[in-house]
Amino acid sequence: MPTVSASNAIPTSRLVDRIPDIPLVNHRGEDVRLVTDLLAGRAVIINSMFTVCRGSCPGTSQTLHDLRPALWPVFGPRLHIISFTLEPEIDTAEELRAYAGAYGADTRAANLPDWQFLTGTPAAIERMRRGLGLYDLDPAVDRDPTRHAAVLLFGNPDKDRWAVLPSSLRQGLLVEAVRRVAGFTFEQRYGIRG
Amino acid sequence: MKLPGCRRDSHQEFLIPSRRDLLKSAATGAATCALTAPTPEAAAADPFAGATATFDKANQARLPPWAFTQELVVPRTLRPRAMGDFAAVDRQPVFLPEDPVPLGEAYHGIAREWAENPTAWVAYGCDPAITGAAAWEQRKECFRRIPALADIPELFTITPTSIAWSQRGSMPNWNAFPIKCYRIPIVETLKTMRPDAAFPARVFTYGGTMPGPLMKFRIGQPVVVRFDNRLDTEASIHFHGGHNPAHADGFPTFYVLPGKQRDYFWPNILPLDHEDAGSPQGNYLPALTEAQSTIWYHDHAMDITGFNVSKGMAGVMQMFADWELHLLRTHVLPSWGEASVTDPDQDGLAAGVEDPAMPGYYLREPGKEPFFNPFDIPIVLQDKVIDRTTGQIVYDSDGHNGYLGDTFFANGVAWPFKTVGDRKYRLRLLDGANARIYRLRILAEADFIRSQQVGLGADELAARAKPFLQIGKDSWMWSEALPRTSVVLAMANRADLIVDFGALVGDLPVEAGPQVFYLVDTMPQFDGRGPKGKLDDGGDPRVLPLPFDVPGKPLVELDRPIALVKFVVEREPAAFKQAHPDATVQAGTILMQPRERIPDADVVAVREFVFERGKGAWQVNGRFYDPTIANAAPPIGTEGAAEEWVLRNGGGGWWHPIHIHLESHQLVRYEKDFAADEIIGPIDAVPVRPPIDPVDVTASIPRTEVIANHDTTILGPNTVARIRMRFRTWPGPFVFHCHNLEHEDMRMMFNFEVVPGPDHDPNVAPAARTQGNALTLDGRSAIRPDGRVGELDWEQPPVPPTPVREAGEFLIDPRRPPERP
Repeated sequence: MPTVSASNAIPTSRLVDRIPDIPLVNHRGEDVRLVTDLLAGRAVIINSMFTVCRGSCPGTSQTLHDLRPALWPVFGPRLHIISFTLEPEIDTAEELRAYAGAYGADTRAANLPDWQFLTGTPAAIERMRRGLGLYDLDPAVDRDPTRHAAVLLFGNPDKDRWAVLPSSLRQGLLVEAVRRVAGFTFEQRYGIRG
Repeated sequence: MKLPGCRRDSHQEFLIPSRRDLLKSAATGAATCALTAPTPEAAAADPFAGATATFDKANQARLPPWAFTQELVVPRTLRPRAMGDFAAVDRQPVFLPEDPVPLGEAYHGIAREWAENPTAWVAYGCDPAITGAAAWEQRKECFRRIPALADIPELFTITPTSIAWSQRGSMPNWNAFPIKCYRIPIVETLKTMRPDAAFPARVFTYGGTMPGPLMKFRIGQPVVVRFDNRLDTEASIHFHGGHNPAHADGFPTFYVLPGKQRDYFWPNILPLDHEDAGSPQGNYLPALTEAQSTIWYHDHAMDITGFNVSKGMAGVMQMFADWELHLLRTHVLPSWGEASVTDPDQDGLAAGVEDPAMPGYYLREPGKEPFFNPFDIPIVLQDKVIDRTTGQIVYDSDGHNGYLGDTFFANGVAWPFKTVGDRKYRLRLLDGANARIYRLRILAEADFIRSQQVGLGADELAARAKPFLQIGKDSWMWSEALPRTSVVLAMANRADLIVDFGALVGDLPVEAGPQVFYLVDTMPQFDGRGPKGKLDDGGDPRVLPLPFDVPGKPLVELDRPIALVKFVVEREPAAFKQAHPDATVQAGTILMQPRERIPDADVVAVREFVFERGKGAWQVNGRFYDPTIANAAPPIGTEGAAEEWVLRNGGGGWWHPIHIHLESHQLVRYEKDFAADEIIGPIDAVPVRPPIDPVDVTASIPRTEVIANHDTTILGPNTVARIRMRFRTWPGPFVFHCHNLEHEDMRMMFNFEVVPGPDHDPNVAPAARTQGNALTLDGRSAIRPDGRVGELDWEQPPVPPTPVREAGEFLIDPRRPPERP
């Protein structure tokens, strides 16, 4: 029989262990690191977007806007929402700030999860996109930002629990899934006391 | 990057099937080119430099120098913790001393069918007012009788072409044997996944082993398994290919929450078929062709199934119908004689059968292990990415398309070998991978080496592949053994094969010594989309993918196949052969009653489901899965009702193996649009619907296979499958979905709610799924009104009388978690 153990001496190979600490800039103009500042120790919801998108992005952004008040009572400040641009050459921090303003996310809110819009060098964005698996197998589709997937990647990086869901699911299902997958405690995850 | 002198394209280092070759390759320096783990320092500097932490598509066929040095491990057989009749185990603390919770009173409870009769069973003669032990007694009559081993020779009249069934000697279908009660903790365990990994991996296991423990029981033998979840992840255990209550079937949101337990109740009965005998109550007979043989169980938790299964949550079970035992006893199928048909714990727990070195498991000896059979080898095929630096199983982010790995496992061992005798073996293969579709062939050592050196063309590969027999697919045996030289195995499919190693070495002199054969995968698959239709390296562009062998339209195959298992065939001494006769099965041998096509007249509803990519995820009929609604509501077929489902691939070159819970289905028609395959364009091109030039290829598939029972039917690109099935016995919600686990997790799944017939109109969809596990959805209902913990209502009024626009999410009140201050 193999021994049942969770030895701390054994290294992990979680997503946060494999993805580099990519330097990025958020819509407030702050320099941030992907792992250190955005992923470690927090629950996250991640999506990709670009400011002039006329396809799925406005709907996805509205979904995230609506999720903030729904998830604040559960997670408080331990949940981050991260929207990174697929057009880093065009979407500067200022552009992203203007876009964020349309969803009331241009400044920090005291009672809502932090929502950061991120840009960076094209290489950094590309690496982040590949590292998170938010790309398409077909190079033609992958090159075209207007055809990017309307999905939310969410999870708990420390626990290495992740899931991807279409952003068009109704809010009740998304709230349940984000709580369950990204939550820290039993009660956060399942809504009942363990 | 190529190292000096490292010929990555030479395939020289593939040739390591023996110590001699190993030495040879080392001498030529080829061994230094084999994949080696990067140093921890290098990986820390740039995690992407640790190439072994991502799927290495280009080198997935490369064998490491240590390949075939580890022996194939056959999962050990788990022993029940308690056995007895209903009264002896119901609400009793059968798992003492470490678990005082009585059976049926686990945190998530047990299926209500354990003690109560659903209203639909009135048709079978069950009285819903009777409960408990009395109900179990009554059900022995309601669920009729099935053939018993002792009387089989008289029960079956075997002719060269058929088996006739008569109703003389028999045993109850319900509860013919004592209830087996197992307890399986779901725990994190350390396991070294590759010899060149720096550390053991943390794996998710059933009972500490990967794959999970083997369980064996009879058809007609009720089983309760208490799964005790000690992981920090919710689980839901699916009994794949069985016919069991919704509560115990692994519905995605019927969780075993972390730190909690659920009692899975598997009655293992045969469903009842309605035989119109003109009597007012109707006449029911057990559907004998529904007896399962090869089952597997795996995780099915909402949104995270792919992750959980990749970490190890899968196992195999075997069920024995008495006519299969008859075939074993008479050596039609490979067996150890009487020990292969008996269970020492048949009438209760016997003494001296447990392995002292492995408490809770049987000794692997004749007369000790139930249905002991060294000639019957279950093989779970999986592929995973192993990060050699940390030793961990990496769930690659690429998995959003379908998780593939470059380390190939059989029963949790990477590239194992197995020593066998020169006789017939039964290999029960399971594709337990997340997204890999295998095409399996058996090659002799010389042919395999040649394939790695110069490659084998399609014709040569087909000509050199060794013949074998297939006797079943998925859970069920076929009515006759069919000859094969390859078998396509999609995710969750099982293939029950007979390989005659005696015939394979028959032409060789004994002095030639042990002979080597390889089980190889020839499917050209490099991403989660599925096998490629065309090979880049000169494959015939008109050779198009189809999950069946169709004359003139073969699948594309790798000219350098991927080896999976090495079989070393050793000659058995004459005395051993005398004591253990070889099996007599051959092509055409009748194995059980032939199945019958479900007639057109029984079909009361036809439903169409299109499986396609949408919005970057996966959809059925343009919708994403919503666990709270019912997308279809077939009636329980108490009057013989059946349904026909049209499963249509929505395009894009993706392969979707469609698995339907609860019931087996038979294939009616399989169509393929070969012309659509020629359209080369973006993956998300507008699906061709209906197919512009569908070709009916059903006739190319043996009829035995077409009308056999299936639980997972693969949809290759541009294909349409018409299937038929009856919904029987169990009311409640079940799912059907794509068994590419990442597609399933990204919501390529639908619910069907089985509701009592015959008055139910199958065209009316209920607005909301009944029998819900509200635990996680409304956040309030951990305690049921009756004071117990678990599901709320069992059998609510099934169908609302109001017409339904569409079984849509806006018809029901969203069940939101309460606002917390």
